[in-house]
Amino acid sequence: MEMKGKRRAVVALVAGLGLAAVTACSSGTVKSEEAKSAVFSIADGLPDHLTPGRGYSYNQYNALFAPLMRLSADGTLTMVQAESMESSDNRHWVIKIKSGWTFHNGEPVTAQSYVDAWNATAYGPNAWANSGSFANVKGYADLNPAEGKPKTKTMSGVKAADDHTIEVDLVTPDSQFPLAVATGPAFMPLPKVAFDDFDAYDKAPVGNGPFKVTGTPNLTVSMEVKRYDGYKGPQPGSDGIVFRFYSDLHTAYTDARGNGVDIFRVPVDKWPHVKQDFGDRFSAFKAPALQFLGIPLTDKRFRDPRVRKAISLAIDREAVNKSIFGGLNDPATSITSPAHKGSPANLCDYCSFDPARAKQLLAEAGGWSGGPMQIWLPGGLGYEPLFTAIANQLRQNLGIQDVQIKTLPGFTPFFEALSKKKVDGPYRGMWGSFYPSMAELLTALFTADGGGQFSTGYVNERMAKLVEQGNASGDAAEQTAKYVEAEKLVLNEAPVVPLFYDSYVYAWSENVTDVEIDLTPINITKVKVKR
Amino acid sequence: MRRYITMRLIALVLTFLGVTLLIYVLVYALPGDPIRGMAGDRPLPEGVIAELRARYHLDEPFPVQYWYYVQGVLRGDLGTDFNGRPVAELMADRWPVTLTLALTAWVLELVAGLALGVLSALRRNRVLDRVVMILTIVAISVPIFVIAYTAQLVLGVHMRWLPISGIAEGWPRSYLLPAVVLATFGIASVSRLVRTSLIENLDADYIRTARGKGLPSRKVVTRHALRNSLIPAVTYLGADLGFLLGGTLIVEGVFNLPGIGQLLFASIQQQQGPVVVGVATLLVLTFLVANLVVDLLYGVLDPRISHVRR
Repeated sequence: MEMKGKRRAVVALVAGLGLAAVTACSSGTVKSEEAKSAVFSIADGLPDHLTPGRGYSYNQYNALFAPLMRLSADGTLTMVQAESMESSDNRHWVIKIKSGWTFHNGEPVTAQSYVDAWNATAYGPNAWANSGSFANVKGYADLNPAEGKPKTKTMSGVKAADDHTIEVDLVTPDSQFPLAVATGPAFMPLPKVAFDDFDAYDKAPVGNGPFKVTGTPNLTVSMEVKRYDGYKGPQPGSDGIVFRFYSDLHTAYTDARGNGVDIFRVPVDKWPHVKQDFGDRFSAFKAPALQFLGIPLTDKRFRDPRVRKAISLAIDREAVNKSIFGGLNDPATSITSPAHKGSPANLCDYCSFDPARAKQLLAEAGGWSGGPMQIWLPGGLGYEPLFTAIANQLRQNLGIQDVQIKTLPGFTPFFEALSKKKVDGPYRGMWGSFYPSMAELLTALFTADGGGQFSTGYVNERMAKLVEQGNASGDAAEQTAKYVEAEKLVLNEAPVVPLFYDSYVYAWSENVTDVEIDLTPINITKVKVKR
Repeated sequence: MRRYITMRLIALVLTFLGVTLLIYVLVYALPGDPIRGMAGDRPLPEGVIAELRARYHLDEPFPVQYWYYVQGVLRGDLGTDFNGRPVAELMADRWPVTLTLALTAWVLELVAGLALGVLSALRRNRVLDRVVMILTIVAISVPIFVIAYTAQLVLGVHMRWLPISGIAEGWPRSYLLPAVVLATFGIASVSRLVRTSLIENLDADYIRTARGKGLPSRKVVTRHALRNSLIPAVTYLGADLGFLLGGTLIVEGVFNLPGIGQLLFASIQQQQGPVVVGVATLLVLTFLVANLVVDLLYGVLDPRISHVRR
């Protein structure tokens, strides 16, 4: 009897613990209020930093902050917080901002709000991710000395002439600077409260944009922003946005089919199905972005440009685009894409599919005798099918017996292998331009400190000179001519194999209309919610 | 008994130390710079990388890094991730989700598994038994991904009965679908275990004796046969609680539940040492505690299994 009582007690205790745990855990649930007001949701990854200078959470920055200018999908600039941005020599820039605009806490947005924010972003010891946006501004070097602490906290090249005038001095003239200002989160302003405590501000930022945070967002499940009534810019078509965090966008895909989430980026392996599943409710924005095969130029097997051209000529980009991307990307016909302002594309004479010429070039270069050819890529990110297809094409069309893909577990070890020069074959390369300028892409890929980890390992000083001349020119036609000349110089030596011009593919639920995808990438003020 | 529990608790502490060191070594041994990896396709100035490496002690040799970590733990500080968010906070946000999911699934295994097992044992070789056994084979052999996606498409997209993902609607609605998916394997296993062992016991001599003494059939089954048939199921359920906690990874991913599994997966990918160590250690500890509880339960179910030193 005693034993039995004990047994019952234990069973009751276990059951009770289980129930208590279950109910206790469920108390902290989030109630959704989306049905009541015109609020829509965006599927998003977990934001890293909510301060625009500090991270890569573009959707949040676009909601909470207004840019000086906006770059539309067709490449035109329209003023938002700025009234004008002008320069007579592409070196000294004067930006006038509109008066009467306020931050969400009522503080007026002034030229000083910009100057302070830009200095904080550029200040080396802060270690903010977007500090490189100011690399060409006078005084940036003083805030980022090679050794030791900087002696000053402000860039000499950025000044508030009065409450509504910002003056910027660049190190080298740059006609493309307005494009950078329009698209870079680093160029957003910060209110005074941000400077009391950057980390506290980062948790609940006060911006100058169409939406504001309510309370302190808990960055676990979702983050809500509400319409800011004092916003002076183009009025948003909705009352608020919920950013719903997904660890895997495939779930968002299924969720959006059931109208459970409204706007999301379509994972690449779903591109061939998106038309069937979402009909007209998707958009593939032609981005100024290039997917390419990098080549280990120090490896002697790849030193002959004919080998690199042969690799390029052996790839049937049309077929791969159809089977892997559902035809939503475009085969590259050049390094810069038609989305880069002024780019004529079609500059590459080794980017078509021509297996006969490929074999001939390879034979002229002495054939392939380096054992297996490995194509290196970061794994687990969905790139495997693309590079498997490319490996198959190289095997068939070049007659190289053994072409394999070499998958490393994620970006981190992939960069490590690249930087340690362990990569002994073509490798996955990608550059998405921050603004649609040929100069941006060429500088990022083919100058010594253009893109850091993504350097192609190829630097061309003559090309850099030509780009600089284009940047300094005040005439759009002359700029383009210089950039084209620069690009031709690079293509002559075939240091990379251009593959595709990348698209941003987004789809949306039946709850929303007026979804426009551009470089930002979602034009969130335009989105309307169906009642 | 007390001595037994004390020994087990000491083992727990030693395991904790060993596990943290081991996991720290493993994370540290991964190649590459996590700060660089976090930027992905985007550029990060070299100065920023150097500054962040110094801030999170990534530029120090391994023993120094581990010493910083242990020092922190002794002060009750589990460290931060590389965006400066405290690990304790990250885990506090996510443990409840995983616990709720795992316990809901566990209760489902317990209730549904027992019920199905007992029913099929009592209706041995009849239609119900056959149907249940076929269903358990299906549940055990179909991969969890397939079950999860099918459940999402049928119950979420087409019927619109339950939310497909997230925890916006709270418990139970948001947790039902993932918990059922997570529990399918367990329900099938438990019901098979209970069925087999109950059938065995029902044929045993002592049951025949009990029936012969005229005890009512309900009492024979519940008091005598079932109690003795529970040991395999309890062993399974005990081990499974730990497994469910650690194994929520796939289900959390497919149903987008912000639990500990998701956090662990992302942190390993990003080589967030302090987060990985914190999460993994807690998982190991939970598993050990669950095992301890099961071992103690044995003694209650079957007095022949005893932890008391005679």
